Amino acid sequence: MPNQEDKFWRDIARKLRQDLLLRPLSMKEAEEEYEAAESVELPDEKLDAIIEAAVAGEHAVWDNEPDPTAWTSELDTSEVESDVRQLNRNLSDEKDAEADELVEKHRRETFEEDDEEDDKEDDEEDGDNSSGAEDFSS
Amino acid sequence: MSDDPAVHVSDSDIALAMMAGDEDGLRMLLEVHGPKVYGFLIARHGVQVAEEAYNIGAWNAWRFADRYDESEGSLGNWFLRIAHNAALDIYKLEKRHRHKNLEYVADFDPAQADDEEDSEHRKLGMEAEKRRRALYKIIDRLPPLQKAIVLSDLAKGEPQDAALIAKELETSVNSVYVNRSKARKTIREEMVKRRLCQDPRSTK
Repeated sequence: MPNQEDKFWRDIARKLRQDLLLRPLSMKEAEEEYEAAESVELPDEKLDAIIEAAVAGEHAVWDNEPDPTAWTSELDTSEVESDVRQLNRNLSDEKDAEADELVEKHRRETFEEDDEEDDKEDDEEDGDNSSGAEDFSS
Repeated sequence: MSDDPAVHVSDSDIALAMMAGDEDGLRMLLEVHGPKVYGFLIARHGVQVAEEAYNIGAWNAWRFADRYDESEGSLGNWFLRIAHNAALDIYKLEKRHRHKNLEYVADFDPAQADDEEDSEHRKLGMEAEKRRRALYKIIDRLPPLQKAIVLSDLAKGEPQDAALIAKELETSVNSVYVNRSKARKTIREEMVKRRLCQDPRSTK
């Protein structure tokens, strides 16, 4: 038994189809739509693609992958420009003595820690070998 | 070819060039009438459907140029109807099947119209236009799968084959049934809310 939604749909679908013009247009309708339509130009390369495809016996397919950077031209970045510049300061010629000193300090500490760990590992390996580790050469 | 085809080239010139297999004829069609037709498609069907419909429409206009009859309207009008029909085929999920081998169907008219429905529609006038705008909004706001199912059903004029929709939209048949039902419910509720129709529960 059809439910309420089905019944409603049967009654309204034809009207919806009419209202949304989801059916072929008559000549009069097409004429009105043509007159009222705004012109939207296509770039030459797209016209060329359509023509080339049609002459070859098929229709053109445009690859319309959205350009992820397209919207950025509309973005106002003036408020964050100084922050961005600071974050990317090593890309520019600006120097920051305090930051450089800090970076150098951390680098030194890191290398010293690495050296200490390497020495410790070497000592442990030497000890293992002396205590009779398996000899693969024999 | 002239620099400004809109001024110097008539519809007959364009149609004759296309009929003769001259690709400049198709270029002139696209240059003279294309912008209006593409603008109509975008306004009526959205960019995504418009692009595909325009490509198929141009291809059909080229293939069926010999079926253009100048006494039945301008070339722009003819091209617009063909492109609009291509959009309907996209909704109906018939794009892959419908456009093959149609050159061999002698009475196929790529710009065919349904005059019976048209005369009924024209009587509705302003009321229909108002309702149309509201319906666009309701359907446009449906989740993508529900929207695709509803448009496919409406373009076909009857419920579209669920298996076909499921295949095209890469979902399950059950999901098509569920989403169709949800979409219809939403449309009914929204139409009642906007007083575009009566609540079926209030009329016995």
